[in-house]
Amino acid sequence: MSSRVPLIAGIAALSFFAGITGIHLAYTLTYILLSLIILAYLWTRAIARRISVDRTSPEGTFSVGEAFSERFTVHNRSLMWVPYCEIHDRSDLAGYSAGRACALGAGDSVSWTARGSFGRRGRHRFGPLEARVGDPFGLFSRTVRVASRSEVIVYPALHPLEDIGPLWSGNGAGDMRRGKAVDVPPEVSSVRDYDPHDGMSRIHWASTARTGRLMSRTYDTRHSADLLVILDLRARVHYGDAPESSLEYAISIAASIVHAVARRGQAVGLITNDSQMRGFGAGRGEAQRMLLLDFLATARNDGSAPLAHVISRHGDGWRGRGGMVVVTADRDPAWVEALVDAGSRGQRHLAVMLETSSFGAPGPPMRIPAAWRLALDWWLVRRGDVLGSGERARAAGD
Amino acid sequence: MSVATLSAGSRPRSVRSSSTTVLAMVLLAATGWTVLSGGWIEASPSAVLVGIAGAVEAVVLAHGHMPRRLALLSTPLLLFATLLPTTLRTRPATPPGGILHLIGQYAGAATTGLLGNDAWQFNVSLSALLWVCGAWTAWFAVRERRGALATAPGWAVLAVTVINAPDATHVGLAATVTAVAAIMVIAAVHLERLNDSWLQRRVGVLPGTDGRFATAAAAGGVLIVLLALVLPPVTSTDVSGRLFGFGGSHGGSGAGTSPGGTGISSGTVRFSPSTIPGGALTLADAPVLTYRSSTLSGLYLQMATDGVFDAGNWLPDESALNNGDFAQEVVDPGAIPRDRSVADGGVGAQQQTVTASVSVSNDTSGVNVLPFPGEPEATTVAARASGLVQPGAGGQLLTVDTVTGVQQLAGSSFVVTATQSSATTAQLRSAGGTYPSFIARDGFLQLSEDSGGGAAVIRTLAAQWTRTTTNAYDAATAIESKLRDPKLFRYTLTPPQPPAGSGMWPVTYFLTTSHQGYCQYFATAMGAMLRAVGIPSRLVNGYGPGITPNSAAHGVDAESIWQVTSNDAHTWVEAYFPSYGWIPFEPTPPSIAGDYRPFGRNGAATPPPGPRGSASAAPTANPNQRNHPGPTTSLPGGGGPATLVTRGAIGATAVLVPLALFAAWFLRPRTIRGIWRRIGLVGALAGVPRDGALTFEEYASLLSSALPRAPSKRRTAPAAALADIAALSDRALYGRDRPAGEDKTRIDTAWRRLASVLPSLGWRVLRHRRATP
Repeated sequence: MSSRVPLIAGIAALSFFAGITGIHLAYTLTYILLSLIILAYLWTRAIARRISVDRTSPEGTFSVGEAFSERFTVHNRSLMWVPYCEIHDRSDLAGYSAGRACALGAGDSVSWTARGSFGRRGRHRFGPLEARVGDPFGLFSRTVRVASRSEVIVYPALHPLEDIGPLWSGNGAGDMRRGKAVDVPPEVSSVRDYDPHDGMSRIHWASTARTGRLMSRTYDTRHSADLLVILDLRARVHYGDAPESSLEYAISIAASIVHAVARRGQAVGLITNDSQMRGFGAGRGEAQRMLLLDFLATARNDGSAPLAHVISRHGDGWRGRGGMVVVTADRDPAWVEALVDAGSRGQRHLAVMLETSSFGAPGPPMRIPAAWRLALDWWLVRRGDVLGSGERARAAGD
Repeated sequence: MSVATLSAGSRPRSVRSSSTTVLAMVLLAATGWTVLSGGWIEASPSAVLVGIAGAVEAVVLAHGHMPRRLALLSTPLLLFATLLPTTLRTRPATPPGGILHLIGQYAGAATTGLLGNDAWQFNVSLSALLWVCGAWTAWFAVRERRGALATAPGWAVLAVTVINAPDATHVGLAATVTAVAAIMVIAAVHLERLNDSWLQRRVGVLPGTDGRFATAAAAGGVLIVLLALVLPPVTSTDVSGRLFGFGGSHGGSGAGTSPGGTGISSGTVRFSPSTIPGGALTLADAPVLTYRSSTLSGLYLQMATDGVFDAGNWLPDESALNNGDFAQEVVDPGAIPRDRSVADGGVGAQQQTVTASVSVSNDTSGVNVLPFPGEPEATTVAARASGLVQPGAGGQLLTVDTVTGVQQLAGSSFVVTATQSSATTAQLRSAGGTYPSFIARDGFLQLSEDSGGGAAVIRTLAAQWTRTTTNAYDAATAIESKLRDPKLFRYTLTPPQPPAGSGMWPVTYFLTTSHQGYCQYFATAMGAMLRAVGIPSRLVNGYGPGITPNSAAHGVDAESIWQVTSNDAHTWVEAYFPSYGWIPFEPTPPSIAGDYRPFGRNGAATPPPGPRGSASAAPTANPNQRNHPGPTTSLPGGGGPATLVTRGAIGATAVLVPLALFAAWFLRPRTIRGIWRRIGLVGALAGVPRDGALTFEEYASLLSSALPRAPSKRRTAPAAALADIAALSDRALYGRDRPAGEDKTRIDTAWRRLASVLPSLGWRVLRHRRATP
């Protein structure tokens, strides 16, 4: 029952008795209740029109786990007090509560800072902001939109996967150690600190002169150092609830690989088997990195195409261009065979396998057959693993 | 601008909860204060403590998370346990009985005590009422968090007190404080509710919120009360009795009923020689007589006096209850044989003679009594004068109670002469208290009591009302003023009656509970209260002055004829002042039945005089104003031009304010859709209701073509404005980008253009529709 109902009933009763008895004081009581309702209505209406909020929200791109802060300032531009103003933030950031309740004097402003961190990948909305104001008697309230919304993209969590990168990188030393076939002229992609194993010809003298320490060139073979990431986005392959789901782990690993490889200047592509079978050809540079991360930020596991089919379809065309990384939670041996078939001499592909039993899937823990280990590099990822440096050491068979 | 920089999620500790409890207690105390200020007989201040105890108990239950059902079940036990310590000592002696008897006694007192006349029962009932009030308020405020509902019993008690209090003089301040407290309780509970909601939804509360909220609520509450205090009442006429048909359980009829008429009846307003309040009356307006006055002003026509008070009624001296010597004197045309000795008390000093030429058209009373404009002195028709005589003094009348015609008076004309006192206020104040012997001997100070305790109630009230006075005249005027105070008592021809079987006198019920009655109630009350404080009194039955037709146009002169009807039947009071005799008082306030005003005195501040400003003892009645319902008699002090202006202003405000609010709403839409809602309204008036399937531009085009053409240069204004609004609305609502500030400005400008031609457009639409069936 609304607070107004008893008051309206009281007004009706009192006005009736005041009317039939003509008692001044009875009229006064009626006027008090009547004024209460009228003033409450006008008060609410007046301040609702004169409340505004300045909001300073973060802009750009972020990755999961990054912290942010927002600054809010509520202005009361009316000549009346605002008994309460409840700022409600309609942001879709889980667990983030930027709204506050406050009261303002005539012409006053109050400010606060809200802090949070991005817990989920995707496109996230800051705002809109709504202000709920009302009279101090609880009779009327109004909700008005006081600030528009803005949007940020939150990339999946990016982990430092430096140990994985060199497998396919154009780092000359790595290539030589692995006896990688280099059939295209190398290109200088960047410089790095001098390594004692580097020959004198690798020293980049201009950079050495500029930095004051020995710097070596890093070479990038145009195609053989390319990397194709195949991400399994089939429905019913992944288990667990975000953020501790095999899907989030898979996307995060794929994003980390893309990020690391792209940052090293290597070309990287991404193939998925989501509902639209979206794929991105290999490319290099910041634009490619952002393109892939943008996609991964919003990727969904809504596909149906078998992984083996995707690998077979793209593997032939990719043969000889570089390595492939398949990130999946699928235990079906078909895709393993397809991946092995897609390999070329001297080129080992990497299979990142999400151990679904650790994410709540039925069945025993996975054991990778020896034959598979011989044919491919494997990285078995379990729930709770700290992704990053050294993780590859946990690859099955090591 | 003050800027507070705060960290996120701060949530200060607060004293809100205890504030709500304290405010609930304050509300209870203020409610109790209001009740006690109402002058209820024997109301004990301890009732307020019981009420506060009820609130405390409810707070304890609420904080203890007591289940609702259990709390409700524990209510009678807690109430009884709280009532007992404060009222057990004063409990009247009763036959021995067990605890069940005691509980039964308390239950009966708690439920019916307010209607009775017993002090203990009344206090038990009042305490129980305030306890329930306190428990309810605290429970709903602290536990249920429903502010308006929590204060509901407070408002109810306030309203009942305001409407029914015996003495509402001191209720105003207490009621105002109570109202403010109730508003603050509502605000405090709302703040609690908000904080609960914020806590539940994890909304951080910035420091200072509670303080600013409380300040805003207090300011709002005070503003509301101040606003309400300055607003005038819409009416001051009591029509409750007429609406609900109160009464009927007791006999009586207006300014007169048949002597000894105690049966169940209601009647018309007409003269009767005795005064027996009770029953509802209706107006009949039968012509009784006409007269011409030697004073050029209206005259109160005295026909019979009642000197015997018996069980709340007034009876003539000739009744069997009178112990004095009663006699009849034959009056030949000429002076009435009466004791003219001031020392004996037969007549008073400072008298002036008043003459009236009377033509009786109809004797509605059937008692054939001659009217006199004061103390009967002489007449031109043969009659018999009745009154009290001095024992062994030769039969001369000390009082002339009635003068009855020997012949039938209906249809006859005669002249009556009477005396009126011209004593000044100062003389009456210094008259002293040494009364002639007949005052005590003939029972003019007698106030008989019965089992109902009515006389005791009257004595208590009379003592309260006159406690600051130092002489009989001031005491009499104090009582008169109280009874005439429209805030305390109201005139009605259908007064509420005491509960059947209660044994209360109607006059006691009138004084303590209903505060509503007609002239008999007011006169009976004043006469009894005068006697209660030792002032001799009697009641006078007769007629009020009546009216003089056309006096507004021609004025009042010696030839003016005053017309008296049965509706002018009236009862007033006379008090005896040594050396000055019987001095009239008018306790009946102005009302729908007559513009009765206090009798003027020489040297006294009196209300605006009648047409001649006479200093006579006659009351200053308005000669234009018939003493029956009329449109100009409802407000206190008469319905003058100011009243009409006030009513007109209120009526105009009632019409104009909603119109202004509608216009403000209509002309200032806040959103684009709001603009289209208004355009749809215009379209509906023009016969083109808005169709949701049409785009803005399609509807604008359709509406433009349907609008009648104006013969002016503004012909295209509505169409152009509509087209602009439609185009801009499409872009703003469905375009890729949100509307820029410039677009909004353009839409607003287009709307203003359209709004500026709406009045003429509306007029043309109406004409067009009328012309095209």
